[in-house]
Amino acid sequence: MDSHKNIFSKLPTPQVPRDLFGKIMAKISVKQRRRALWEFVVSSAVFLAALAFFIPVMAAVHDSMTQSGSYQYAGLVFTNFSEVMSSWQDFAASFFESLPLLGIAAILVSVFMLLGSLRYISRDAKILFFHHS
Amino acid sequence: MNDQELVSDYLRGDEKAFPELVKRYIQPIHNFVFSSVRDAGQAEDITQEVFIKAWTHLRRFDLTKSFKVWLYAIAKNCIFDYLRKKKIVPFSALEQEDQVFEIPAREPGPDEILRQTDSWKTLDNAMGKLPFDSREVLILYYRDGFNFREIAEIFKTSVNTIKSRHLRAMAQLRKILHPNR
Repeated sequence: MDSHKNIFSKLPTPQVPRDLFGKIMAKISVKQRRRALWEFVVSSAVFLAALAFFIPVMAAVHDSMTQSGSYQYAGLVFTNFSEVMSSWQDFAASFFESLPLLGIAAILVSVFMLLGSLRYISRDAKILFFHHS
Repeated sequence: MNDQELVSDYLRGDEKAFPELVKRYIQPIHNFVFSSVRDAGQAEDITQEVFIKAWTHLRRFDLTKSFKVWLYAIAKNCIFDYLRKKKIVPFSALEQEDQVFEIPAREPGPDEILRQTDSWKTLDNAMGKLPFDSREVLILYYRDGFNFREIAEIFKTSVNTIKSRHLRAMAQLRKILHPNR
């Protein structure tokens, strides 16, 4: 087996052209910039959409919490802590009932989208504007 | 640092990791491609294509598997595409994939074959006359150090098929070198 390997290793093989590595990396760099540009555009669109969604949802949740008395419940923790602790189970149930859960879920989704798109935007911006190969 | 670590580092944002992989494999991939297409210009173009495809699909690479095998599989596909465009049949027309090739009781190895030939050039010319699949199995097994299981992974076929191709390749090589025996 080793002698077989020895024989095939001696078969003539051409030298890799000197500029081949450079050519490969240059083509990859072009493709990388093209991909980064596309992802940058998509991520920016997602970021703007998430921001446009986040602001009215935040305002709606704020209004809903004001109307349902969630802020007053939360304020009790600081103003009347001993009473809250004495009947904490009832307090917790009332507090959670007063929360606009759907709105809060919508806020979390938009925050997740904002952070996710920001991650891609920063990565792609680095490739597009600061990367020189 | 092994290949998987370099891939993992590149995917995490280390820009220097992929060029390191290219440097590591540019010579063996170029040799593998050249041994198939036997044209320096085409070998250069196909080698470029192999690394660009590897970069494009790097996120799909399974880090638990061998990067070398994965890269050679890409190279094999690029060579197939080239051969198809050139209308060259990449496999021996006589091949029946799952049929174990019948060989004489004692088949000569390449060292014996070579001993019977005049020079390395003769062997190289004979290799050039082998069908693509037969030639590549010999090259991958004896020169590039892959085992039959890895070659089967590259060709996406069974180990038995590769073993058959190996035996057939040796028989074909012998027939090309000594047509009168």
